[in-house]
Amino acid sequence: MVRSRINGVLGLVTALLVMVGATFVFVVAPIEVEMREIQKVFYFHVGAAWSMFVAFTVTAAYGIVYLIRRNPRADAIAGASASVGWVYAAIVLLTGMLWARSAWNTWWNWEPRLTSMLVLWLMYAGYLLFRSTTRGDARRTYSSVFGIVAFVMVPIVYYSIRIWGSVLHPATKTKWNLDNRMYYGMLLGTLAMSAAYVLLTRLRADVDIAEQEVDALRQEQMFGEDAEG
Amino acid sequence: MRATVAVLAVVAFACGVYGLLSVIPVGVNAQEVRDEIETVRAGSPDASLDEAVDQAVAYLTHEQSRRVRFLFMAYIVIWAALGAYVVSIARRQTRIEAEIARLKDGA
Repeated sequence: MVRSRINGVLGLVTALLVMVGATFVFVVAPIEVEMREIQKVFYFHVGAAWSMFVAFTVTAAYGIVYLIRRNPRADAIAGASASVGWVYAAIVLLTGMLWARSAWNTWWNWEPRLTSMLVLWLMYAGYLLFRSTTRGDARRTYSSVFGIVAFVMVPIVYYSIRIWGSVLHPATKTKWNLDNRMYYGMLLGTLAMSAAYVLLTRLRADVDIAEQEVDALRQEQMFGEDAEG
Repeated sequence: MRATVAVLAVVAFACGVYGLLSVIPVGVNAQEVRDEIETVRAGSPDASLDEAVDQAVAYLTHEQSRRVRFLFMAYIVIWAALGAYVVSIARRQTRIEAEIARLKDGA
């Protein structure tokens, strides 16, 4: 009941942030001089990328928690976070491709950021595939290890431009020299995507836990029937 | 859960339509037109001012509609991906509720 109420509040906060963020981005933030209208993709593209990094960090952290405490809820949160992170990674890749087609006149370029990002997306696709095809303790233990190992790709994607260099992609910055309206647009876009991440992860984790309970109930019934037989 | 899905769907749709409609009538600015006229006249010095203006406006309008088209597609991708994910969670939850009810009936 309390969880459902928290989810409802989170849903409203997310909806509000999306609405205010989208209004700010499209109405208040100015059109950038070089890239023009297509630059407005970045407000939510960067927000999705940030939330994706957070999602994969949470997956690795809860993987460690599961390995130490063997708490199924930690595994459910790790899996849910990876699942939402993977969707966000797909959004980052697809919106990046659309931007690239408009700005570079090509859908794809094998430069370090795009290539490492694709590898990251494929690794977590493998993680989710593994989780969907296994059950029980083996799934929980091995997917925790998988989630921790796959996390190695996160800093590689983040620092790929600094490591290998690129004439196309700008290096990731922690300080932006932006017009105030653009800065607040970026902040709102990032907050909206982060709030959506928290909400979706909670909903997905609840479904995973309910599925685990159904599995347990099913096993209980099967063993009960065996005992009667 | 269903209320959250409905709120998110309505908000995503409203923001998408409102945002994209507001970005379309931006138009090109005067400096851009001047620069493009210079470019056209540098490329074909014999072109009259009217011809250069026509060519510059046609080019800039074409480029703008191209950028807006990609922007439109990018936001469709964002809302569609999030919407599809929410729907998939809702469907899984409905399936689990049915399964729980079935197991309880069977017990």
